[in-house]
Parts: sequence; structure tokens; C-alpha cells
Amino acid sequence: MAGKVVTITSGKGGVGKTTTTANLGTALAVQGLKVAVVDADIGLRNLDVVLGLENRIVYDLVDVVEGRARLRQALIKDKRYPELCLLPAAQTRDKHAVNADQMAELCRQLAQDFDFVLIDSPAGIEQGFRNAIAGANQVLIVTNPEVSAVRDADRIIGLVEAAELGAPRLIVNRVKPTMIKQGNMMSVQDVLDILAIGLIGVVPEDELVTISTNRGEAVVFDNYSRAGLAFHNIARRLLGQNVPFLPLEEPAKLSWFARLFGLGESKR
Amino acid sequence: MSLSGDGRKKEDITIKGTASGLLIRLRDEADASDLEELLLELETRLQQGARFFRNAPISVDLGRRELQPAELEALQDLLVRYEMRLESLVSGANATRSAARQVGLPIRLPSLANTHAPTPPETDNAGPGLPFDSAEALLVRRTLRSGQVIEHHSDICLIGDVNPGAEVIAGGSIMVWGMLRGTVSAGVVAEKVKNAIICAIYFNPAQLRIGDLLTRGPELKVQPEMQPEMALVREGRIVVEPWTRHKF
Repeated sequence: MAGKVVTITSGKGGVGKTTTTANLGTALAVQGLKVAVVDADIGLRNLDVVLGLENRIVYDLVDVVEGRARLRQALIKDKRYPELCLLPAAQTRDKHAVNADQMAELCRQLAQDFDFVLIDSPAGIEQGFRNAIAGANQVLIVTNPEVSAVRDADRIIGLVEAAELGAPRLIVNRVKPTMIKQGNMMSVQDVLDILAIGLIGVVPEDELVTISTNRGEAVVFDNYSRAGLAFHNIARRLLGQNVPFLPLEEPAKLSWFARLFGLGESKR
Repeated sequence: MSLSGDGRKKEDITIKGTASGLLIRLRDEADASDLEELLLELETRLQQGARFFRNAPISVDLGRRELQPAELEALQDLLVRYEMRLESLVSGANATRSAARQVGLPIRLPSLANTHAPTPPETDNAGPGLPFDSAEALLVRRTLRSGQVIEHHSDICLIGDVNPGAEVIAGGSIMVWGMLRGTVSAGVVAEKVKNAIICAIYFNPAQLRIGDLLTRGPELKVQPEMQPEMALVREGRIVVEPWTRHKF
């Protein structure tokens, strides 16, 4: 049975598409699935850096499309989970090096070997975005609780619906509960009121994300990270499990204790 | 290797398929037509196969012909009219290369795989069949940023830094007078592998290749000391050594 191709996109840049792709991919691999993450941001690649695999790149997506390398040669195994593979983007080319048909074909091939194929979309609504959704079975929209990000997400949702890729699902990233409480930030509900699509995850702002990104490791390995926990939950929801949403308030001081005794929300 | 062999009829324009698309070669020898005529002839050829050429990635080898920016634009216009994608110009002439830079066209230097030897001088001493410009090392005075590539069929000397995501590809050796953090490939030309080295004042490449050998930068981001180092092939492996020990 062919695997599922999931594109992670946002419209606006800097909302956390790459972080989400890297962590979701890792979390799915932790669940024992075969996962390929594909960097569709040709010319501005990042996913390799976030996963700490930059120095292993020999061939890239464009090499595969243009026939200089076989798909298998270009895939890079993750350091910890060999079931997780990265197909890196080319850095020296641009979005026009690949067209939507080629991308769709690539996704089809990957889906034969992997349970999940996660596509990290570039920002924007042009060729790069078109390529990124070309082979998708499902689209996840990442946004932040900010008017500009939500506006762009709305635009993207329109385009995804027009492309008849089924209902996209929403990840609200970098949520700051204290700011929401003070009335200084849109709440998740405010965002949902505007976008009106199904929610698949809420990821709280977390300094540990910055730290792990700089180290080239996924934050899902950090047992203390609430963002990491949120990504694990999104992975499980992608698998069809019914996982309750995390309370946004921070019971953080208690949580390590709870986890020690297997209480609270288990991770795996 | 020479396609302009003496016995054959000399065509001013040859079009052939390569691994990276079509290569149009405009002959540069003294007896070839001038550019205006060449472009007319090229147009005729393109007309004949318009459907075949549409959307094809094209490289144009200009040999050592010296072109002005306006002439390059004329060439580009022609290709655009036939809906061809100009991937790169190959030129062995400095004047043409700087004209291309002005016009904003991607240029490549001739390489062994993708160029023809010049008409041999009368006193052909039957040396190894090196391409023209074989002695020409490339001196670059700039910083290479992510996504930028410098490719040259011979040695490259770069004054500046090579940032992560940037690439230096040389037929021979690479010397970086600055910080090396990107990807470097030396010894791409088979004859030059043996003596290929890579050296830098601060040596911390993401990946380095000499010929067919490949090695990665350290996994843990330990900051190497700020001292010049050099990579070379010894007993079939890439080794990196501090510069101080070397005497040539």
C-alpha cells in the first residue's frame, strides 16, 4: 500500500514550517514508521541544517529530477533513526528547476517505499508552493497567532481548496499563553474563527526549539520540551489516534515528576 | 577529443546532446563566420527543429570568441524566441565572461568534458591533451555565500570566505585565503587528482571531495583552531594536516 504524502505549508515565511516538518518526521519515525522528509525549498534549503545532516548531502532533489542521481542515492538517513530519510533541496538552483509534474512523480515514487512523505514547502504562493503541493494527499497549514500569518494562511487555504487536495488541517505554532491571557495575542480560538478548518495541533512557544534547531537535533527528543510533546501529539493525530489537546497553561514543574511515574500524557 | 579534426568538414554550428541538456557550439576559429552570420544560421537551424528545442535546457559554448554585452543579448533573445532555457554559457575568453556578468547570464568556464581543444599550434609537441587555458588558475576576490558556486577546470584561488551552502569546484587544487565552511571539490579533472590539495586559513568545510573521495566535516560543531590546514590524498584517503609541516 502506498504511503501518505503530507505537505507542510504556510504562505508566510518564518512561522515554523521547517521546524514542524523536521519534528513531525522524527516523531513519526519514533512511532516506528518509515518516513521521508523532502525539502521543497530549492535555493533556500534549511531542513538539512535543522536535522543536522547538512554535511552529508551529495545529491539533491534536482539531481534526482534531472537524472544525475537515483532517488536512493540522494536520500540521507537520519543520525538516530535510519527509518527517517531526508531528500535535500538544491541550494544552487531555484524553484524553476523543477515542475509540478516532476514533483508529483517524485512523491509517488517515495510513497511506494515510505509510510509517510512529508514535504517542507517554501514560503509564498508561486512555483515553489505549487511544486510542494503537487503530489500531496494532505496539507497541513502552519500559522502563528499573528494577523499577518493568519492572513497568509487564509490565502493558502483558499489555494489548497482550489487545488482539490481535501480539507487542510491547521497547526498553530509559537503560542504564548501568558500573552493570550493578557489579551495581547490572538488565541487559538481567534485563529480558528477566521480560518475555520480542522485543528491538528497547538505548539507553544518554547526556547528549547531554538536550542535544538541550532544543534541540528529534533526537539521531540527533549523530554522537557512542551513543543516537543505537542509535535509528538500531532504525529499521533496524523496516525488517526484521538489525542486530547495539551492544556496551554504550564504545569511544567510538575510534568517531569508525572512522567516519571507514567502519569499524565504519555509520549509514545 | 578534438571535434574540429582536420579531415572533417567544418561546420560553424554543432548541436549535440549532453548529460545536462543540449550543447550548442559556435566555432571560434579564424575562418569561422562572424557572429551576425552565425546567429542567422543558428536561427535557421532552430526553425527546423523548433518543436524539438522548445523548453530544452541549453548551454552555448562560445569557445574563445570575444563577445560584447549587446551580442550576448542578441543571442539570448534568439534562444528566448524559440523558448529555450539558457542554462549557461561556456567561454574561454575573459572579455566574454565579463560581458556575460554584465548582462546577468550564467557562465561556465570550459571544462575537459565540455569543451574542445583549440586548433593545435603548428609545433604540436604531442603533450597530454589538455584543454585550452589549462595553465590558467582562477583568482577570485570575494566571499562565496550560500548557493553560490565557483567552477573552474583548473586551480582556484579564492581570497575571501566560503560560507556554508556555497560550493567551490576545481579541476585542480583549491586555496582559500579566508574561512572555509562550505563544500569544496578538488581534482574534478582526472589528470589533476594526483596533485590536488585543498587548503584554507580556517579549515572547517561541511564536506570536501578530492577526485572520487569524499569526507565530511566533524559531526559535533567543535570549532577547529584558527590555523591554516591542508587536505590531500595519501594512500587512498583524504588527510587533513596543519599547514606548518609542509614544505614544497
